[in-house]
Amino acid sequence: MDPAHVVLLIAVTITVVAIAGYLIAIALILKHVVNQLVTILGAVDAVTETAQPVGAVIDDINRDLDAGRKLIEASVARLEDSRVPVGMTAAEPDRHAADEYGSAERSEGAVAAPSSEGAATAPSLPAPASTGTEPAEPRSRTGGRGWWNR
Amino acid sequence: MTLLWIGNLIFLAVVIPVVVIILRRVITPATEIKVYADDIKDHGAQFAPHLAALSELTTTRQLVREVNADLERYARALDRIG
Repeated sequence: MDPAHVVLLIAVTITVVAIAGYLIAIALILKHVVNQLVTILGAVDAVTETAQPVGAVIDDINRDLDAGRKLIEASVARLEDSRVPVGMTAAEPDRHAADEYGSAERSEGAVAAPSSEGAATAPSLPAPASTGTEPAEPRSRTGGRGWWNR
Repeated sequence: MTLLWIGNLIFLAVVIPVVVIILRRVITPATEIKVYADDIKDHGAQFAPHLAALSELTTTRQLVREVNADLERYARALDRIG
């Protein structure tokens, strides 16, 4: 056999072996990829089945929460309309009035000042009627054991 | 005979490298696809634990309904007070 033919045979063999090796490697890779994709597809199907009813359930929850919120809001509104806040019948005298000691106006019949929210809802209620008790006498500045006599 | 040697040289120097280059260009993306598929599978397997809490949504819905019933009772009691 001529050496040129031998070299040609060897070259063709190398080529065929290289092509076959690469094709086999590609086939193995594709087979592996197909297996992985089948696994991923199964997982995605499971996730889809798990998450499918979530939208309806969340809609139900939102609807129930909305109904509860409206119920409470309506109840509170009715309650606010029907109830006069406690303590809205008198205004508290100014603590920084001209009387330095401030005891004359603070009779025992005075009612505590309302909260700011109550003042907003009923600002012009009349002053309470007299309870019949006289206001207490202001403290004397002379005599006694007060700090002003030290 | 000389032509045969020239053919052999061209075959060894040109055809085989070209074949190898072409096959490598095919196998490189296939290898990347394999790596990506492995990566997707590894991270996709973490979906299930994260979605396990979705089954608790029915319990949440039931609890919200019960709270709603209690809220109705509370609103009725408030109406009676008012």
